[in-house]
Amino acid sequence: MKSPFELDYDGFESMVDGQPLDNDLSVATPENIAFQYRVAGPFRRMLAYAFDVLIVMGIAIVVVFIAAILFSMVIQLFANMTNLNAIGEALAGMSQMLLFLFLFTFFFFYGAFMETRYNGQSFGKMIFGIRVLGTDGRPINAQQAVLRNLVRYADILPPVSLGSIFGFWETPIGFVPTCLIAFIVMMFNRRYQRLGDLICRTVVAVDTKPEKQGLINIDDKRVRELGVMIPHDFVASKELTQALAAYVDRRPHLSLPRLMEIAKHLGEPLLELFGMDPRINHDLLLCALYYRSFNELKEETENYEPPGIQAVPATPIQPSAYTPYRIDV
Amino acid sequence: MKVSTLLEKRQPNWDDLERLCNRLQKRRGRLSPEEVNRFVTLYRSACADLALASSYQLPPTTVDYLNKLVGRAHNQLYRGRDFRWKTWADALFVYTPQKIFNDVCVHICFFVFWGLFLLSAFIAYNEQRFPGFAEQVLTVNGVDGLQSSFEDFEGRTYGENCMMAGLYVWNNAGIGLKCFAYMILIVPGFLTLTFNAVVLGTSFGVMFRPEAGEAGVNFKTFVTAHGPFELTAIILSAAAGLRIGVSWIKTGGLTRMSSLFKAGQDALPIALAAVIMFIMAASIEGFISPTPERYMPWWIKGSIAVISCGMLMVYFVILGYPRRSTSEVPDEV
Repeated sequence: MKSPFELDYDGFESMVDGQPLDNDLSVATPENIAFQYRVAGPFRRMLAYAFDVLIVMGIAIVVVFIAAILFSMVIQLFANMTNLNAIGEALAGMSQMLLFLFLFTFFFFYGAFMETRYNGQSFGKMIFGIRVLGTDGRPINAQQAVLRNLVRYADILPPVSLGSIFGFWETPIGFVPTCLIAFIVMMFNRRYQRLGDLICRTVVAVDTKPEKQGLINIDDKRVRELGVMIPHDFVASKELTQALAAYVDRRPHLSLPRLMEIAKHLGEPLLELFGMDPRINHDLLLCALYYRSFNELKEETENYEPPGIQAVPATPIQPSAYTPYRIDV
Repeated sequence: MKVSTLLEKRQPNWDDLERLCNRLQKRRGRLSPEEVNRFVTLYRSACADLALASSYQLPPTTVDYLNKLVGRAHNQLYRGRDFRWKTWADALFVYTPQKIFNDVCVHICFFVFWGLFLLSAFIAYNEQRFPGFAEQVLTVNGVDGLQSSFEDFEGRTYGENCMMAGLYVWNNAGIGLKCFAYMILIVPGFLTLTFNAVVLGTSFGVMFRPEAGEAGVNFKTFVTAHGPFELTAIILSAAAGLRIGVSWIKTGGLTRMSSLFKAGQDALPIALAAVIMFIMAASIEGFISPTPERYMPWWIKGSIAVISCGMLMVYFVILGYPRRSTSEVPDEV
């Protein structure tokens, strides 16, 4: 049965020509909008896998250890009672069987169980913040989870023996999976899907909780003052507001000379267009334009005070050289 | 309307949606009917906001936030589908046997496995004509070990039986599942399959030699009961993997990716059927095969083998005989 929402073609559209070169995949929802996921790269996934292996091994070792203690206790308990010795031995045997069955289920179906139960996440994936999704953007089902976890045995091929590489041991022991197959397959598709992902139509996406991001508050009186000075009939285009928002968003992460260098490209022509003093700080101008494009300026205009003594910058500048909008060099 | 006003108006809605998402993401997170209603409404409005983000001129960071929020709510709304026994039972007993019956991959794996098995058994049996073959395959220690382990085989205790049954599941079903995965890459899969065929065949050849004596008799009675399930299971798991491996070469008119996906859907129930057979074989091998002659005469083990063959026949031929199933549209009406 095909769901009416299932996409007919293989997967979904992502990275259409002309889109930015990001590892985003876009998912069309039944609500007829498209939203983006960031695809998880091979190294984050490998770390998550290594973590899962550690967890599986750790739990297996603990279980075997506890089981060994229990076996010896049972055998010890029954050893001195001649009649009951056989029962003790049978109990120990049965628990060994249970242990093997547990180990089999745990080794081969841990990932499948976790991904079905916890909406596409195993412990390793939870820690590294990634999640398995169907390529249609929906959570995976049990079938996909089982199959992609079984195909992993092919993906981690070929194993390499640490012993024979470093010459510790003559016999090839200490096999470590190289995951070469998975890496090669990931190289040949755009969504970093390994073989198991291709077969099950799944993709591993970065699962970040949305951070609250609204407008950036620029707490500088000069910005507001400059905002008022920008001609009122100037309406920033969509592209310009996007660029401004991106710029202001990145501002805290850039050094001052870098800021000046970037702001110059937009600042110079804008100053010319507005017919303003060419010595005005370009960075301030962009911030002001951002402020004006995204905020109401009404109250500000009403309480407008001409720039004066209040606009003393935080950084000490020689008073004689100071004009409020001059580039601070 | 300026963006700041818009954001101020929408932010409470988004916060609310996020709060409901948080609650849903908790273990056993449930919402009351009213809250579910509210969740859906909020989700739709967030979708609308995202759709109109560019005409509202929302800043990129907000668009990013909305993307993640909508993605998260979408994941909660269209949740993972629950495990249904009926679906899996249908897959196992209705569709899978029919697929196996006509599957060329099963035929290939069957002939490769049994051909090599019988060939190596024949070569190992004729030591005069092919001297040293068994020793090359199994090593000298291996041949001796095989013989000595069956020399005076006196059965096991119940506890040992249990332990060995568990070990057989762990080892054999594990090999089967790995063989399935390796077959997707074809070459490593065939290496596993042929390795098992040659080693098993050689062991049989060695133990069937007249000079094997007591050990040979014990070996024959040991392997009778569980043989059918175990050997069929390894063939099936290899065939399931091969089906995927072949599918991206021979696509049958589909795109390669669709062909892979379809083959994966077909192959998984076959591999799981193989696991079930491995488990059945392991319980027979653990509890029935090692019982010595005086407790369980050979004819009982023989009839178990016959019954298991019969069950396999029913599964492959009666359940599997090609018919017009409800799932497939007939070619001509």
